Amino acid sequence: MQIIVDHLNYTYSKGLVYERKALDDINLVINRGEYVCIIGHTGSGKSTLIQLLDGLLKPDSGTIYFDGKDIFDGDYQLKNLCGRVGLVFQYPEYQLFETSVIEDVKFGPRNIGMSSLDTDVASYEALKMVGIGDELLDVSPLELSGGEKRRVAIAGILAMKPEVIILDEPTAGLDTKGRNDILELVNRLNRENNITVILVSHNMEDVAKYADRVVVMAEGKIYSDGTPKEVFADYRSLREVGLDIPEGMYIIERLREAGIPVRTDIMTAEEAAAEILRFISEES
Amino acid sequence: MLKEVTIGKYYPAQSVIHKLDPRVKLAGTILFIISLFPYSTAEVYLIASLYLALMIKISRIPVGYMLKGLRPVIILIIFTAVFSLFLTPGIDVVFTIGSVHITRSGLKKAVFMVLRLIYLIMGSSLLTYTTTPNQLTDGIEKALKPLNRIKIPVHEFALMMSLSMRFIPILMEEAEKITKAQSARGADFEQGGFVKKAKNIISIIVPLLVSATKRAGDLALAMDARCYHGGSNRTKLKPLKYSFRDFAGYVIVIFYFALIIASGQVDFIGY
Ligand SMILES: Nc1ncnc2c1ncn2[C@@H]1O[C@H](COP(=O)(O)OP(=O)(O)OP(=O)(O)O)[C@@H](O)[C@H]1O
Ligand SMILES: [Mg+2]
Repeated sequence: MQIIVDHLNYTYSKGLVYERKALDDINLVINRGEYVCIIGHTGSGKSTLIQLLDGLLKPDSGTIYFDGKDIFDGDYQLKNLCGRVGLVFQYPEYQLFETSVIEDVKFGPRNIGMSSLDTDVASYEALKMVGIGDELLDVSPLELSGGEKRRVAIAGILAMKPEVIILDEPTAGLDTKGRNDILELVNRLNRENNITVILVSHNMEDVAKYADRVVVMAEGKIYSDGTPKEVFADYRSLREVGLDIPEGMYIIERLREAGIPVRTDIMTAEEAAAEILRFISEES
Repeated sequence: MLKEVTIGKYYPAQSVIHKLDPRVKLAGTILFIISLFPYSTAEVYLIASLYLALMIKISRIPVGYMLKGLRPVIILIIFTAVFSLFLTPGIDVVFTIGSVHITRSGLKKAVFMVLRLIYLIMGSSLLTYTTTPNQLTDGIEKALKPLNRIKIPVHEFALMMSLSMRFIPILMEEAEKITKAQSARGADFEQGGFVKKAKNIISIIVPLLVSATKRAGDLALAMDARCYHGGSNRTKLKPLKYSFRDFAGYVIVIFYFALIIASGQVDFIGY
């Protein structure tokens, strides 16, 4: 139990006419090494929740324990938290500001007090991990392409050597290759480096493909929580909160509704294709 | 931290003042501000205080919210008070601290300067709290329309004004977002030495400028794409039109101003 979210409530602009309750009694336990996807329609409170997880917002009530310690306790060093829980915002490329790529990546590790040698090593490693070649190290970040900028921004977080990495829609606005690169990278971080991953996504295919666990949010509450198979199995109620199921699952559902006895434990488009092929070859 | 700045923000509420024609509110605000300057007597400020309090009451804006708007200028207010208190020469010394003399006229000047500053800010905040930026520019544009005849591009100025006002909250939101993103990278905006702090502030300003420039470019393109070509022959979706309420508003504003002028001539209470 690495992260425990305990009866968390959060309201924006408390006490004003525009007051808005964004999180309503959230309870959640996330274990070390898990790959958790958070899904939910726009405005359901996903971004708010992850900002609280990084200690950037203070809850109205309730709290979060990281490694058994209450992060909103007065004595807790929040500054140490941002090194251990890396948060990649939506469109992180807008936060690049240094004169060169390498300097920008070093900003984070320096801030959390890493030694200069460790900073250098961690920064080069992080850039290598995200696939930014040596020829780009001294280029201004503003001259990079959108996908490259995004990867540099992620490297800026990885260089702090976090134990948990939280990403808010990291693939928004990227082409297929850019998306796959980032998702594969995150997957590798989780499988090889045992980093806990919390990923906010609107893409059900990605969720079905990578997540160990899916948390569905609706109107500031946790609507359901389980493995992708469990969560997507209840597709009727998912639709009620404005969410869809992965395309592969959708096709299989329709085939079954049409009376064709295909297997039901299928989620991704590849699995669906394989199952349909199997079914056709068996029939003929 | 930027969220705290409330000056210039619209505060939605249901009140007569919100519904008033922006030109009435503009005239009222300008006259109110003028009324604070010529006289420094207790009567005049009593009337101004009552008038302002009444307007705040009618506008249904929480008093706490009004006071919060003063927070960003509190330093300025303190400076004003201290300077007028200690640096006003005179022979009417009330008391002495060390080598500085506090004079009766200094005391009086400090009180009126501070009140003037507070009322100025509150009065103009009341205008922006109760008027959307769009209404405000519409009002200004319409009020200044006669200047068109002497070849002053009133519409263009009004457009520039409304665009800048529209961008204030967007930029503030953006600044807040970037601040959070840099905090997530361990940037500390409160502690550390001067160089470190300056560096951390740069980490907000550079991305902010980059995105503001980009936004401005996008906006210009979008306006071009929709064939925007300036003010001539442009019609309004909601043309401004006076109603009975607005004339009543003018009467109250003028009555207030006359009252101030009249009471400025006498000084019963004295000081
Ligand atoms: N800075 C803010 N000030 C006021 N209200 C906010 C702010 N940020 C978010 N909200 C409100 O809080 C609610 C939750 O927002 P949040 O950004 O957490 O949603 P989300 O699930 O991340 O949505 P999306 O999928 O669009 O990113 C929304 O209703 C939103 O309008
Ligand atoms: Mg979001």
